[in-house]
This record gives sequence, structure tokens and C-alpha cells, in this order.
Amino acid sequence: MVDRSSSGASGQRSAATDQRPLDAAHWLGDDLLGDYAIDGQAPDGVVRPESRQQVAEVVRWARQENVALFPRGGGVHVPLGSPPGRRGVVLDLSRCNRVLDFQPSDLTVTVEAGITLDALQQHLATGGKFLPLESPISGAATIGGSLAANVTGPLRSSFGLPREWLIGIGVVNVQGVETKAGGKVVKNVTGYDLDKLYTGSLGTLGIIVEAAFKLAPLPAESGALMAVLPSMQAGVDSGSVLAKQVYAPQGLQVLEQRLARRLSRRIGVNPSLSGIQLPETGQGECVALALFSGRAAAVRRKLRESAAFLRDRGASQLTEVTGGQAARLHRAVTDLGWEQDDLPRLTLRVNVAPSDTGKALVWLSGSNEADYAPQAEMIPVDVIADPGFGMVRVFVWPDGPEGGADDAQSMDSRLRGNDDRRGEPQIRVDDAQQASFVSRVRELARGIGGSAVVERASPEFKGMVDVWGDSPEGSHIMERIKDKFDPTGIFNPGRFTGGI
Amino acid sequence: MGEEYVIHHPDDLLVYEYDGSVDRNVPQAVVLPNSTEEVSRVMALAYREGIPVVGRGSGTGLSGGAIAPEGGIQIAFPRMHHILEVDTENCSATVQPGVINLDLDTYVRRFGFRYAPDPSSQRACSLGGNIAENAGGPHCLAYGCTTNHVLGMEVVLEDGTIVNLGSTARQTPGYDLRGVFTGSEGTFGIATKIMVRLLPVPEAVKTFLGVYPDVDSAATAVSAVIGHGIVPAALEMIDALSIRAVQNVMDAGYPEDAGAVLLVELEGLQEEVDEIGAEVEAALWESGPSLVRVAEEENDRANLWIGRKGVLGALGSLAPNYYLVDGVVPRTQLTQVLRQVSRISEEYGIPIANVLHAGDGNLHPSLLFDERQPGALERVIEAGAEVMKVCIEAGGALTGEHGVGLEKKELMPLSYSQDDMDAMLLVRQAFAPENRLNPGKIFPDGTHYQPPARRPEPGMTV
Repeated sequence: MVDRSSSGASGQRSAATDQRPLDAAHWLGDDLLGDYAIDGQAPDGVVRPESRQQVAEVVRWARQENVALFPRGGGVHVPLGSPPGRRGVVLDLSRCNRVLDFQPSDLTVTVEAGITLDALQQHLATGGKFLPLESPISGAATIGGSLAANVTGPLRSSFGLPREWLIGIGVVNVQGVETKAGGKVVKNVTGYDLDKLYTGSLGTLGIIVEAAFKLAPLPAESGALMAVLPSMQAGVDSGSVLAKQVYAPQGLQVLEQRLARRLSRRIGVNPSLSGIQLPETGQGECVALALFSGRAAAVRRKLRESAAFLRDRGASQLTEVTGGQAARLHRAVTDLGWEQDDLPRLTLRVNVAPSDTGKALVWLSGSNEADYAPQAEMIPVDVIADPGFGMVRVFVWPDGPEGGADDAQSMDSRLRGNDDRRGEPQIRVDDAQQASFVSRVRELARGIGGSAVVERASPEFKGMVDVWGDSPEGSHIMERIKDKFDPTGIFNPGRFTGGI
Repeated sequence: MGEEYVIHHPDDLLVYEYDGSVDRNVPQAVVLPNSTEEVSRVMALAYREGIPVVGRGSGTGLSGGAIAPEGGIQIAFPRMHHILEVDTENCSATVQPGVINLDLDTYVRRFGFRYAPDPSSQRACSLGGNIAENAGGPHCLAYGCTTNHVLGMEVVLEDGTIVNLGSTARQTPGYDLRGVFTGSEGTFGIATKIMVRLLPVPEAVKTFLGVYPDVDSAATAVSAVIGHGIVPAALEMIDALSIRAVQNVMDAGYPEDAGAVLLVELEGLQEEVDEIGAEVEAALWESGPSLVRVAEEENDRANLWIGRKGVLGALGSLAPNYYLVDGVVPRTQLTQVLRQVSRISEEYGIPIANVLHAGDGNLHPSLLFDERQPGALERVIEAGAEVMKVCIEAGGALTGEHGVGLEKKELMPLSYSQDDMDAMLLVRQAFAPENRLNPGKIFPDGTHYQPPARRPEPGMTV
């Protein structure tokens, strides 16, 4: 385990440190290493190459000196994963951020991995195109990080996973050589589809330095529909049916009342969201948020028919927003639970078959004694459900479910270990409750072919619960793949499933 | 497994020596299992005995994927042809590998769903083969290829181990093994159960046919459609020689002097199809067609497609044999690449008929020849490789939907460096350390594949 006092002390540098590649300007000052901590551990160094050749140089050095490399884009998805298996160096790719080839008429783009999602979308918009890939905090989240973490957003039921849009990838392998798979054309079955393997591999097989995507035309109109339903279960049931209609929204989220209030408060403190009013909810009610985009006439009809559908099923306070406001609302719900000034102490992502979304809610709400995950009551959890995709995200807030954002900061810094108590981990009682809650939800999810991944938690909590859960099916093949690609374990060691 | 389900008489084995490509080799035995367990037992036995195993669907593949070049056991799936479940709640279907692509699509339509990937051999090809090759088809333009529709699989590895990859849950922790398995051309394992995603049948469909004086003006129309920010469900082109072949055997309604025919299909809400349809029609008129037809009723639409679907079978009216290439280029390079294809045609004195998934930039030039003429086949292969080189130079790829197989393995270095291929081989070593499954495919090993010869038959499609 690394702590800041030893890594910052100049006299204790290893031999590897003395032979670091690239000049000092590419290495972050030691005083800033704490900002790059992974699960509370500051790295031994942060290297920030400016080109793919420099990335390759760093990897060759790391392999030679057996230094672990922790790839990083904007840092948004760094909390995902088990604590590092050993100390090492953060490889910051945010300077490798160029658009290499944008062909609007071919509907393709090739970029360096360090470009942020927002910067890319802005560039693509100049040619009337966009990439159907979402990430929270898209102003910081990079393409490489979003691919590695396999991230999705509220439109996941129509966009699919990032894999659906990736057509080519460049990866620096363990020898420090850049390898490619796929290409720049939208249809390609030449050789094995390593694009799929690297996507969602959390940087454990090599350093993603380049990615090519197929694109979609920028939609002419977007819209959002909000409605209050009498219960979470009613929201999810209606959402499941709505998702299968011809006028279905592109994405539909169902927010528990407490989470809806939190979203409302976030909107309140964000000037760019002024004018958007979330419906008022009473105890036990939920807010369904449906997002639409496409041609204007089609969006109008989808909004109209979806509203009628929800009204028939008992929805009230139906509110429509369109254009820029819909886009900003989309962003606000995407970012909920990811903003630095309002971070949950625990985020759990439950994935099940779409039709089991309601079942997953039952575990959390306690409406069925037999399946109930009992700690849900002792640790009041907030949930957001995506019935079209089969996902429920569970948040536990440091200040309790009804707390505001105001005092979140201090709790957050405590959780990140930036206080004096570092080094003497304290397992709080509620961590233990939380752990048994996660285990119970996981057991229930596994029983119906699903999974529950801890997306964010304190280092102490990660010491109590494997963030990925049991080894997935085919884990022996996964381990073999990792061994072949990275025999000495220098790429993001220990952070992925089964200790990969 | 029962004597009647093991084929080993040399006469009977001849049926299994070929597929839709031109390669041939006779396996030592063919087994026709009826369950995952039987597949597993056969593979475990072959593994112990060191015998190669080749999976075989319907044998419609176009790159030699189902051929057993080193002999060994072929496992074929005519008995595992059941649709096991249609899950309307989760918009998915679970099938055995021998289920025919079109049979699945037809069956799920009664529930208001469709199976989107539609390789042109869909009347005959099986889902197992579709998985192996990551099969495409005209409607992949809007919906993606097979890999975008596979949710999960039960697969048997080379040693007989049974593993499940993917699940009904749309996201699972760990490496995306289902993703990398799809399109691995039978070298990682054999899928014995397949769960695919179904899409709702669209509310409205509209098909447009445009007839152009030449390929250039048709290609300009393709650019105009895409340039309007429209991604149709399908966007297909056939050239003058293909039109002549079609008109030789049927009346598809194409004028004699047509230089190129374009087919555009739109799907979606009525509002979308109407609004975008007006734009498509305008775009089609921009580059000087002699004719534009629009159809919305199912029968009328089928009539517009009839010529496109009949091209390959009709090539027999022009020459005894053809050799089909599957290059992909960025769509904006189509005009330029088609000019080069016609240059190659002239240089080699080989007539080339083109059918294109134009919206994807996926070309299917058919090189026409007569295998009875000495050296004709060799020249055709050489010209085909030339076409693939042109595609690569234009920023494209060797194969868009047919696979590398035996046919293109020696050309792999055109697309990938040794380091690139080494990374792929590492994955194969992880799935199949002994390389007993479909050996001798995909990667160059210096053994040149025996030139193909194939006779067009009625009903053949691409």
C-alpha cells in the first residue's frame, strides 16, 4: 500500500524512478499525486504523454522495470474497480486528445483516446453528426475511459453498449507496440473482433490509445416527458410496456421519490437548468423521465402518445420539455450521483433481464418479505431504474437520503481518505450493514442470471466486499486472456473481475 | 449417438466437402448431434484423439469456413433446428444452432418482432453459421450485423467443456467473451444454444428504386442520401452487367440501357418514413435518374427487390462460373473504387458484375469466368486479390460479412501487422489452446488455398 508520505519523500525512490522515460515536464509534481489517488492510494507518479509514441515508450519502460500502470482519462471512472493489486504509476492519457479523421459523409470518426466526450460531440456537431455514447460528467470523461469502463447513460436501451459503435481500436500492447483491430469502415469481419474484447476490459489488456466509431446523424429535435406515478413498481411496470411500443422513448428512467427530490435540488443549484421544474412527488411516488429525439414530427407524436399511455396508467403531472431544455435535463439525470460535490458513499449497479427490473425493485423496497434485502430499511437507499435495459442503480448518500448537497463535501473528502485518519482504516457499523446489503442483493441478482457491481465505495468498504461479485461465467478463459496479454500484470493490476 | 447419425461412407461424405465458396476437402466423418451433451462428448473424444473438429451450419458460407482442410470430424446441426423460446417480455429468442435465419424471422413476426440480420442466403443459412461468420445483410446498415444482436450463447470448447457467454441481462461483468466469440469463424468453440435480440416490426416501410445511366450518378445519389443525414434501413446498388444478367432470366422492370439501379428502404414511424421519404426521393432525383419508383405495400416492395435478390443466380446467364469478392471501403470512396474495379476487369479481360451494400460501402464484385479454360481460375483469383488490395488502399477492409476463412487468410497482412495478428492469436490460445477447432483458417500459414470454381444456380443470393 502506498501512502503519500513515503512516495513524496525524495530519498526513497526506487531504481525505476531514476530511469523514468520522458522528461520531467511529462511527470506531475509529487505534491499533486494525492489528486490522482486510486481507492485512497496515491500513485508513485503520474506520467502525461503527449503522443502515442510516448505512451509506447512509457509501456516499454514499465515492462522493463515491472512498474504497474494505471491508465486514466478524465478520472471519472477511476472509482470503478477493486483496489489496485500493487503500487504503480498513473498513465494519464488526457493530452492525447486529437480528432484524427472525421468523415461526415462516411459517418465515421477516428480519435485519440484522451479526447473528452463533450469535445468530440462538439466537433462532430460541426458536421451534423453525433456519437451515440453517453457518460456522466462528459466534460471530463474521455473516450478511452468510457470504453474501458463500458459506460452507459439514460439512452442505453436504444444506444446499446459502447461496443455497438466502435469499429476500430488502437492499443499499446505489453511490449510497448501499438496494435490495431478493426478499421475505419462500418462493416468489417477481418480477423477476430478484438474491439469487443478491449471494450469493458478496464484497461487490463493494454493501453487504449485510438478509437474509430460509426456515427449517427444529429437529431433535429429532442424532447423529454416527466410524469408522476403512484409507486416505483407502477413506474417500472408502465415503463416496461412503454419501452415496447412503436412510439417508445429512446430511454426511460424511473426515479424514486427521494432521488427525484435530489435531482430537483441539483437542478435548482445549476443555473443552466433554470426553468426546468420537476413534478412534486408524495411519499412512495416516483418520477418517470422519458427522453426522445429524432425528426420533429416523430418526436411530437412520440411525446403525445407516450403521455397518453402514461396518463391511462395513472400518471399525473405530465410535463413536456423540448430542445435545449430536454438536452440539459438529460445531462442532469446522467450526472446524478457522479458530481464531485454530491457523491454517494455507495453506488451499486444491478443488471438483470429487462423483465426482471421490477423484481429487483422488490428486493430493495421490501414489498415482498421472502425476497426482501432487509438492510434496505436500515440503510435507506435511493434507486433509479431503467426498465427497458434491465438496470437498477442504487445510491447510498453520506448524509442520508433526505440530505442536501451542502454538507456532502466533508463526508466525501473523509471517504476519499483525505483526512488525518488515513492509515488506520475504520470499519463503521453501517459499512458492515452495507456489506450485508450488497451481498444479499447480489445473491438475489445471481439467482435470476443478473449481477450487482459496486461502482463507487470507500476503500474501507472495498476491503470488505468484492466490487465485482463472484467470478463471472467463463472466468477461466478471462484469466487465460489476461495471462497471455499481460503476463507480468502491469496493466491496471487487481482492479478487474476475479482479481484480473 | 447412434450409427445413423455418424456419416463415414466416402460417397456420403462428398456432400460435406464443399460450402458456398470454392474450396473443397472431404472430412473423415460427419456427426449429426441432437444435444449439447452429444456435441460435448464428440468434442471431448476428438480432443483426446487429437482430431480436428469443424462446425458446419448449412454450408452457405463464402470463405471456406465450413471446409475441413486438414480432414477430421465435421459437426453439422440439421437435427438441432429448434426455436426453444421466444421471450416477448425481454425481446429475445433462444434457438439451437441449426435454426435457419429466415425461419426465425418468420416465426417471431407472429409476435410482432423481427430478427434484423438478413444475410442474402437467409433462406438457407443457420444461426450457428451466422454467429461463426458474424453475418451481415442489407439491413445491417441501420441495425448492425449479427454481433449486435447476440445476447448470449452456450458454447462447447475444444475439450468438450460447456460454457455460457453473455446473458439476458444486457450487461455482465468481465471481458465481453460473447463479443469476441462472435465472428471467430468456429475457431474458439461451437455454439449449441444462441440467444438473440429481437426488434419490433416497424410501423411503416417504404422502398425506393432509382434507375441511373451509370454507376457514377448512382453513387452520387448514395452520397446525397447519406449527406442529408439519412441512414436508411437498406441502401443497395447493382451495376449494368448485373442488370443485364437479371433481365436475361426475368423481368425485374429494369430498362435495357440502365447503367445502375439503386434500392433504398426506410423503416420507422409513419411520420418518419413520410418526412424522410420525401427527402430521399428528392435526393434520388438530384443526379439524373431515368426513373424513380416508390412502393409502400408489401407486394409492391417485394417486386422492387426481386431483381436485387436474383442477381447471383442470374449470373449463370453470362458465364459458367463466378468468384465473389467481399471488400469494404468508406462509402465516399465507392465511385473511385468501382472505377478501379472496372480497370482491373479490363486489364485481366475478366467481366465483373457488381452488387453493393452501397450504404455500408460493402462491395460484392463477381468475377465471371469458365473454369474449363486452363488458367482461368488462377487469373480470377489474382484479379480478386487485386480488387481487395484496391479496397485496402482506399482505407477499407478485406471482408465485410463473409469472413476470412481459407480464402483470404494469405491476404491478412494487407490489413494487419504481425503484432496485430499476434494479439488475435493470444485470444485463440485462451479459448482453444490446442488449436483443434477449424484449424488452418483466418491466419496466413503460407499454404495457398486451392482456387475456387462455382456454378451459379437459380436462387443463389448474396
